[in-house]
Formats: sequence, C-alpha cells, structure tokens
Amino acid sequence: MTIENHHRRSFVHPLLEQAGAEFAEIAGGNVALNVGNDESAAADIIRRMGLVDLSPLPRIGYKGVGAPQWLRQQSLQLPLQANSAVTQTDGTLVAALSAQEHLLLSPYTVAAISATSVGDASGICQRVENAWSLDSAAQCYQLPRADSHCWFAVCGSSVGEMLPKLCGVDLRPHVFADNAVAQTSLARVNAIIIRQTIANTAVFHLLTDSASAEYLWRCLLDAMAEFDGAVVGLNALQSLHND
Amino acid sequence: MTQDNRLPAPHGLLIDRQQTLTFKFDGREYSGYAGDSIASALAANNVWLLSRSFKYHRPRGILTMAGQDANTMVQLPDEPNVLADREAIREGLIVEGQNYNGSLTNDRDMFVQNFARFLPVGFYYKAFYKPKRIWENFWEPYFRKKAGLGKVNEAAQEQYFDKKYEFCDIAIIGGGAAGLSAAAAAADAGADVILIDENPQLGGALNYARFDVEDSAAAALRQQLLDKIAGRVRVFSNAVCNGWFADHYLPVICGNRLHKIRAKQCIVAGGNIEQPLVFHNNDLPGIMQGSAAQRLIKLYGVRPGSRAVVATANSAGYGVCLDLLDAGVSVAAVADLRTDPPPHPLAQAVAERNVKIWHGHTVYEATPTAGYRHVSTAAIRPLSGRGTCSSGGDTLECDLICMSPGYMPAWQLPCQAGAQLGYDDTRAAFTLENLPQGFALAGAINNSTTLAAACRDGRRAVATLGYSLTTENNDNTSDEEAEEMINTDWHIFPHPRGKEFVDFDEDLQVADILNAAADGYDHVQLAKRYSTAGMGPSQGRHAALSVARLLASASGKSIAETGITTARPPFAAEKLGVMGGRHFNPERHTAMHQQHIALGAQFMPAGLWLRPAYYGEPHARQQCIEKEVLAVRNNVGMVDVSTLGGLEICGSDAGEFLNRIYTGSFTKQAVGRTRYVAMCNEQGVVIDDGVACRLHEQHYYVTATTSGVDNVYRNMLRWNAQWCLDVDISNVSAAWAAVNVAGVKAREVLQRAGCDIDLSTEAFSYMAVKTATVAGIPARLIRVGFVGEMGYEIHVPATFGNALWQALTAAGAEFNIQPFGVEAQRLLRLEKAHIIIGQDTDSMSFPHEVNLEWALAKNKPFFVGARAFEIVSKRPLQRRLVGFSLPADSPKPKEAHLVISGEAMSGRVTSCEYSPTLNKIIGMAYVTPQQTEIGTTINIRTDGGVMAAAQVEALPFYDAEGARQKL
Amino acid sequence: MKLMPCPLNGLRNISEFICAGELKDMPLTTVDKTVDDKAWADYLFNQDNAAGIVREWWCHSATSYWFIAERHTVTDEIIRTYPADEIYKQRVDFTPPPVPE
Repeated sequence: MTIENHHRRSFVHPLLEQAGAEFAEIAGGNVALNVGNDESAAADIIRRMGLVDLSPLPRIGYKGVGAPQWLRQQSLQLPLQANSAVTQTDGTLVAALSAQEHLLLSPYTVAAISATSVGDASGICQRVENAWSLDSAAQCYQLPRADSHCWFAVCGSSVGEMLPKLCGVDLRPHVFADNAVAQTSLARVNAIIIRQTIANTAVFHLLTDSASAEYLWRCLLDAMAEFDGAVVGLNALQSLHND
Repeated sequence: MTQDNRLPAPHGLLIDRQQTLTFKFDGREYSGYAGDSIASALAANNVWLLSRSFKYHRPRGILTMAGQDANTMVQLPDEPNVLADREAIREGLIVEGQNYNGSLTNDRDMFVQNFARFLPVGFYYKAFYKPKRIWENFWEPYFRKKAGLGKVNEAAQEQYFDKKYEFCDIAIIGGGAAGLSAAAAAADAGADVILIDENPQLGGALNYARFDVEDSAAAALRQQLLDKIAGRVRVFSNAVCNGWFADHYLPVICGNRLHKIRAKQCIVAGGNIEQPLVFHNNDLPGIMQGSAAQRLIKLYGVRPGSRAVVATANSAGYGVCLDLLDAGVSVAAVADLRTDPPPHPLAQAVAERNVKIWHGHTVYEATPTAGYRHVSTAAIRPLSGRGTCSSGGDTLECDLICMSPGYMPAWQLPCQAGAQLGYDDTRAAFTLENLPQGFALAGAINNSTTLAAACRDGRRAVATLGYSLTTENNDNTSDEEAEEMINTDWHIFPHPRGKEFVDFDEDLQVADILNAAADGYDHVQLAKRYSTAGMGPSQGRHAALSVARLLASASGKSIAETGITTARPPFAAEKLGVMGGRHFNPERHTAMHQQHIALGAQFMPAGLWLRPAYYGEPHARQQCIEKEVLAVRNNVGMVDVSTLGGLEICGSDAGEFLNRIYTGSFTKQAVGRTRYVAMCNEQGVVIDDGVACRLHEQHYYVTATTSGVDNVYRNMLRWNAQWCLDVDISNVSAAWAAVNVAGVKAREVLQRAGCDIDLSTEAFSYMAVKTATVAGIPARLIRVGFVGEMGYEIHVPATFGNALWQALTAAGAEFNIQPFGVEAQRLLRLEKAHIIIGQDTDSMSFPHEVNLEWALAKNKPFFVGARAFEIVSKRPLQRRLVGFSLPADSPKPKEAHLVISGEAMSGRVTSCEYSPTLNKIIGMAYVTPQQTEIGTTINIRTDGGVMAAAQVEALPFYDAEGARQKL
Repeated sequence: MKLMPCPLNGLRNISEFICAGELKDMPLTTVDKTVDDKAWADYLFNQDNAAGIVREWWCHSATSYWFIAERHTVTDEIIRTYPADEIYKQRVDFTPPPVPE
C-alpha cells in the first residue's frame, strides 16, 4: 500500500456523510463540495448563514525565534503585527499568532486551488513544507496544524449575530476588521478566528482543536439555527466569487 | 367573566382590545386582552386577592404593579413564584395562588396572625431548640410547609436557554425620560449605545405618571425622544439588567436569553422606587402605591377602584388623584402629610375638582372587609408629632388607598458599581455618591424628577462620560419648573394593634424592626439578618427607607450613618436555566471514534476525551475485559492511545531543558532511543510521566498523561520564560493519533499491514523509536512495553488515524487481532506494576514512595523538585506502594479501600483487579514501611466491612524479567 | 467580569486567563546549592501576601502565553502587564553539584 490510498479525512467526515455530502479529492484530502443542497440554495445560504468544512485542505505552522526570517526566505509576505493576517498572491493566508509564530492556510476556493495545484509543490503550504527541515531552518520549528486543528468557515450576513453566542470577543467589523486574528475561546474550546470578506460577504475562519471538531460543529449548528443557517460545501464558498 | 373594571381607550397603552384571551386563576376562568399581565387582567375582572403573605397568611394584592413586591407571586404549571404583575397572560394559561391551606380566598392558616406576638423577630433563634432535635425533626419541616413559596414541577419540560455577548460604548439602563434623553445625546455624539429597559414599552414614567394638569406633556416628550433614537440606538425592552460587574459587564435577561453586555461606560437611569406609607393594615388588597394605580389605569386600562383615598407627601400624589378622577374613580379625600406644601398646579387642579384635601394629615389605619379580603375604610388623622396622630380627621369608606409618601433611588446597580449611599437631610432622601470611573446617573435616581430636569440630566450624564454634546441636543422642555421635594422626613405610623407592615415580603411590622434594635441588632446588617428585613423576593425595594429610618431613630444615629444593606446581584429573580444557558461541555474524540462505535465500544471519559472502556455489551463487561486481556497476553491486541499527550521539544537546549523538567537524564540519550520520564512539582511530588523519544539531536517527542498534558505544557512554558534556554515547546496532542499493537504477533500484524523498515529485534529493539510508513501512512514507531508484551506504538497524523485503524484491522484479521479498551489496558499494566499517575499517586506521592528512585538522575545540577526531594528523602519513609495478591475467590478490594493494622488504618488500595492471566486478585496499595516485606500479610477492609488478608508480593506480578516486551 | 489586558492579545475577559501566583526568585538560581532546608521550604510554601502592588504570573490559556501583571491586591486594579522577558532577560544556568571526593 502507498500513501496515495489514503486521503486526509476531515474530523467531521462522518457528520458530513450523514448530511449527504458529495466529496472530491483535492490536494490529498476528501473535501465536501456540496452538502445536501442544490447550487442556488447553497449560494443563498452562504450569503446568509453558512458553515463550510475546510479541514481536509493544507495548512501548516512555523514557530521559533528564527521562524519569521526563514519564512521570508521562502518569499512569504508576513503580517506586520501579531494577531493579523495577510493574503499571498496565490490566495494563501498567512496569520501571525505572535511575533514568532505563523499559520499558513492554503487557498480555499476551488478556483484558487486548481490554479495553484495545491497538492503539488507549487502550492505554498506544500512548497514550504518540502523546503523545511530541522537542520536547514535555524530555530524554526514546524507545527502540524492540519492535524492539530480543524478548519471551519462560517459565512454570511448573520454571522456577526451568531458568533457572539459562542465567543466573548468583540468581532464587529469596526473593531475586528478584515485580516484581524483573535485567539480566544469558542464554546469553551480554544480557537483561532480570522476575519475576511469575499465580495461583501463576511467569512470567519475558525481553527480549533481537531479532537473537539464534532462537538464544535454541533455547537455551531445549534447557534446558527435561529438564522436558518446550514452546512454548505466548498462550491458555495466558490460562488461568492461570482458576485 | 366580564371585564367590569376595564376603562375605554385611550387608557390601556399596552393592551390590544382586538385580542381577547382566556385563562384560569384559582380554578375559575377569566378573560383579558393581549398585553395584559396576570394581575391587570384579574383586576379588570375585579379579582384583587392574588396571594397569601409569607408568615401570617394575610390576603395580598397589587402593591407596585412593577414587579417590585412579592404580593403578586403566583404558581404556573411549570413555574413557581411568578410575578403576576409582570407575566403576560396567554390563551389557556393556568394560574394558581401560592402558600395557602384550603383555598386562596379561605386560608385556614390565617389564624397564625392572631399569634403574631408569639412570633417575634428572631424567634427562630429563641425557640424550637428544646428538646433536642425538635427543630430538625418537627419545626423545620413544619415551617417549610407553612412558609413555603411555590412548588417546583419536576416533570416540567426542559426549555431552551442561551447566552449572547453584546458590546457597546455606553449602556444605558432605564428607558424613561432621562435614559431616552441620554441615549439620544450619546447617539448624537457618535457613541454606540445600548438602551436597556425592563418594561414592554420605552418611556418609563412617561407612560403612566402625570406631569401636568392637561396630561399631555409626558406623551409628547416620549414621542419626541423616541423619534430621536429611532434606528440609532440598540434597544432591549422587557430586559432586566440584573447586576453590575467589574469593567461594566452587565448581565441582561431577556426572555430565555442572557445578554452579556460589555460596555465601555454606563449610565444608570433607573428611576425611583416608590415607597409605601406605613400604617395599620397597610397591606390589605386595594391599598397600593400611587404609581401602581396609575399603571393600572394608563398601561392596562383598568379602573383600580371606585372610591379612593390618596395619602401623599408630594405633587405626584395629586397627579394620581387627577388620574383617578379621569378614570371615573371618586376620590373621597387626599391626606397630605405636609402641613404647608408649596403651591403646585396639580394640587390646585385637584382642589378645583372639589376633592377634600387634608393637609398635615395621614391615613392612620385601614379596616378590612370580612376575611381581610379588601380595604373598606381609611381613617384620616391629624399628625401630632413624628409618627404620631391625634384624634380628629375622618373615617371614610373606600375600596382603594393610594400611597405616595416618597421614594428611594434605585440604588442597587450604582452600589454594586461602588457608589456610596448618602442621605440628604434637607431633602429627606437618599443620594448616590462617589460614582466609579465611566459611570453616571441620570434622572430621578439622581434627584432630577421633573421632565425638564430629567432630560437635562440625561444629557449631562453623557457629557460627564467625556462626550461633547452637539447643539441639536436641545428639546422643547422648559427649564422653568422648580425642583420639588419628593419625600417627607417621616412616613411611619406605629399602631397599638400593630400590622403596620414595613416589609410585605416577610410580614415585618414596625415593632419587629424596633425589637431587633432593642435586642442589640441595631446595625442595619445585623438587623437584616435577625429580622429578615429585605431578605424576601423584593430584596428591600419597598422596605429599605422604612428600615433605615426606624433603625436610625432607635439607635440615635443619622440615617446616613445607618445606611441600608448591600444589594448584591441579581437585581431581580433569575432562573437557573438562564444562568446555565446552553450546555457547553466540550467532548474530544479520537480520529478512530466512529470505528469504536461500530465495534460496540462502551465509552468512558478521560479528561475531556471519550475512550473505549471495553468492547461489548455492558452486561458482559467482565467477560469482555478478560477476553481482551487474554488476547493481548496470548495473541495480539490493538488499543487506541491517541489521547496520550504529545509534546515536541526542539532546539539546541532541548536535552538540557528535559534534564531540568524531568527527573531523569536526557542529554546523553541517543537519537532513535526512548526513555521513561517522570516529572515532579517543586515540592518533589510526582505529577506526570511519559516517554521521551529522541528523533534528532535537537528534537524530542515526549508523551504525557492524557489529563496532565495541558498543565505540563503550560508549566514547561513558564519555566522556560524564566530560564531563557534555546528551546521551543509545542503541544501536539491532538495532531497525533496513535495505536498500540501489542502481543506476540504484533510484529507480524505490522509486517502484514506494510511497514517500510526492518522490524526485527536486532534492527528495532525494545525502547527504540523510528520514523517509517505503516500501510503507506507516515508514522513514528515506538517500541514500548506499557502492557508488558512485544508492542509497537504507532503514531500517525490525526487525519490518517482512521485509515491506520482500518489498515491494522484488515492486516490483523488473519491473526485474530483483538481491539482492547482502557479497562483491559489498566489490568495489563497492573500485572506489570506500571503506575498510573493520579490513580496510584496522589498529591503527596514522592518518587521513593512509588518505587521511582531508579528514574532520578543523581548527578544533575538541578531538576524541578530535586531540592525538595533531597529534604524529604532524609526523613523516615512514611509509606510505600507495594503489590499484593489474594486468591481468586477472595472478596475483591476496590480502589481506596483501607489497609487496617489493629485499630488503625495503615494504608489504602490504589489499584486492584482480578487477573485472568494469573488467576488471582492482584493490586497495589500504600502501606507502612514495616509492611513492605514480601510475604507480609496486610488486612484490607472491603465492601461491607469484610476483611481480606492479602499477601505482599514482589512487583511486577507478570514477566518479572521483562522478556516478553523485548522479543 | 473583569478585563485583563494581555500583552499579546489585548483586552480580554479574565476568564480567558489563569493566574499562577506571585513571582518568586528561586534561591538556587541566585545563590548556589548550599541554600539551607529552611530557606528552601520558605521559598516553596510561603507567600508574601502583600497588601499593595504585587507582580503575578498570568497565562492566556488559548495561546498558553505567559506574562506578568502588576496588580494592586487591595483595589484589584491591574496596573500594568508586560511580557516576561522584561524581567527574565538572561539565560539561567545551575551550578553543577560538587564532584564527590
């Protein structure tokens, strides 16, 4: 057997299966493209209150005194301040969790992914991961963020009303602008929250303990219920770019 | 039933006459309108008796109509102690009275009031304690029944409650004239404002009180202010701010949701709380606050009576009088406690409508109708001194007495925020001073009681918070009205027959407060605890002023010195469900969780994790565990050990760092080798253990206990914050899934699954670590022997954890591989005498007590706990962990059973199980040093006091040479 | 609920933090291993418990970030918070034990 036989599997894979998800292999992971809704319904949901699982997509972290320098050597543009993020030209998001710790999130739309073929070395996460070794990167240590953290995105016009039911940090846009990062507690689980806007739709990336993924998924669905929120697939996220 | 007391529109701001609702009270059906409270709908039907009092079972009715008293507490099917003046009626609602014996209208327990003189304050402390145990066996159950509030329906359906954070620049509590004016000014100044009001409709007193003869000013001002804030301020109506907490953190309850509001600054515009006049029988149904009568008329369109007497000491009472007249209530008289009040347009208007006004008079006593069910007369007497009356005056028939003698500022929230309560003798009113940073008062609470003053004060409050006001903030209120005195300096009239109630909740009369003072409890805090004044559901809202005045008078202190008792949160009663909110109980699952479910695992918690305890049906628990154990001993098993803590320690000082953190020595550990690690705290107590795998000169992968890893990780970070070593520490527990394949066929299973390294003993010996791929999955393989068999702990990225389990299941099928759970794992390690931190250790376990001397490196300059252990090890050993065994058919000791020597306990059992491998009961126990020799008999007291004589055995119980794990 | 200004994460509810007590200097690091048992026990078990401004270890639990807070124990006012390296700037080493004769 070889590694190709196994695709990275989301921590909420069984829940997505139950919800009737259609999966596709992207960048070595089984990603849900659609979840039980037709395309136009999903496009409507994500503009209102949608939950997307991005867990199977690549992400990686680097930490240590030498990490910023080494990442810059890999031609990455780093945020100027801790707890902020900056998007690279290919769509990869680099978030600074402290002056010496960075989190790389691969592009998360189908278009961006296929444009850069994340699975091969042309994707930034993969390229950087391949370049790194303990010996070659002085005082720069790699963190297995794709395994330690699940990656969800909550999107839409009601998301600003939904998140305060789970989180005690003020996430309103004038306080927590695009590319702001908050490391806090979400429904009692430690979380990294990153805000972005895609074509006027608010998108919050939530990265939390992968072992608590099913718990948090259910918490989010419960909190979203009053806004008629639902789970959608990666295609719905893609549809935001059509605006 | 008809609603005989219903007034025509425009009376009744809150009700919708198009929607009639029927409900039941005390077994009878009534109708009301949508928007009615239970109390207002009953009043419309001429039902005034709502409850029975706490101690004397006297009939009680509407007092405040504002949810500020316990008189209106009723029972709903699923909820006790509901305030009938706040709870809205719904179609088909079933309401019952509370606290009566018989029926609400005929309560057999009302005789109690005839024995009032035998129930003085503090009677709990003076009586009922002889003979011995009579209190707990008789009196307490008796009083709990008699003085009980509502009944909890244990079968009630669980409701959905939740919580939500809100953020703002300024939170304004109170939506009356001052609060609305402040909200408008703050919004103008660019502030992000939340306005919180407990009523269904904004406006506060503007909705029900009378400020001018024409009764037009309030409504006009209200509309003007509402227009100003419309769309610019977030409004929470029907929302109670239940406390002030540090840094302006406000819990606001709105239905079943708790809003946790974090404001940068606060304005409290909570108004005044009207106080009752204290006179004989002042608690009869039909006697209410003037504002309560106005609320009935204006908010609900209910006529509060047909013939009224108004007792007042300010112009508000005259406003009440005019409202009564306009509602068709005849007013028999106004008793004005002031001898020579300043002229006021409202008083003048009352005089012009030919109402008899008695200056310098009070209502001295009321008489009831039969059964104390309603007021029937009011005796008006001239004041002859403070609290005394002379003969004269008149006794008037009436069914309504309105009381307006004065007010207390709503002191609760400001005092919680740190404000101090003072007393202004010239105005005979409490004041709030020394407000904290970012906190302001506005309106009546700040002694600004006229409309113009309240509006002005609202704007001023915004300015004091540092906002500059714009000129558009002006409204049309004139500044000409003079501030008037709203309180009289004395409003309490003791009566020879008592029953002048000071605290309606607790049935406390004037004499009760005076007796508390006479018994020596004259400090307000002591008097409260002794008399229970202010301890009822209304928390002293209507009793505080009277208690303060009575105590001040009895002790000779000023009222400012006397003060009132602390008003802690919550401001109003709150449900446990509101506090609980949603059930946020994080639960962690390993990557193989679905596989365990499919295999029929019974789960057990391990910290936040769920782990399979064993696989199979609960009724066959023991057989399942034994089967799993024997499979590992005789064949091969696999166990999910993903919940183990995992830490990456990297950097040039990684070895040095481990040397300091753990008891062992790591700098010379070869790459590719693993070592057992034990951690002590600074006191020298063993607090964690695991295995350190050296993967690179500068990289160790260290495991830690499932429940200890978070603390271990934090401790490591704090130590290195002080030591400044070149080391980086990461907690990667959730990133790695792990399976331990153990048993004589473990190697074959792994080879069958496909492993790209040489697994032979020569190439991959016991305690070695290698990176490899297993079934194509990148893995770290560790040869460890926790369960005492040849074993490979396979650690893989969590996203491949499920795939690994499936691959091992498939590869192991031909070897009959047996999944095993925590229970089997614990028994297997017990046979090997491997301790479990937290089970076989406690918060006082030193390394030498648990046989870990071998794990202490002697020649290190330092490790955490070394110095303390050095001190402790010089002392005589207190206890030691030993192994013991018992025949299979012996009574089986359990964890924490005691080892008994003679009369004394000399130790305790930490682990004990029946071992199918050895066919005997084995265990470990702390014993005294004298009991440690092999072969010593120790006596263990098992369940039911049955003694078991166990033999101390050499450890481990199984495979002492450790040959099997090294295969 | 009180707010705590975290040097890394800004103002947060104090429920996001863990307090680990006052800063103490370990006698071993300043002197050598000759510190007597009594002095060591004093270091382990006794707290100053001062009424006034104290320096405390606080940890932001979501980030496991340790920092130092100066807090007034009478008013509970948090005067200042700052990263630990403002105080701990130098690598700490321990004196090796004397070689047995």
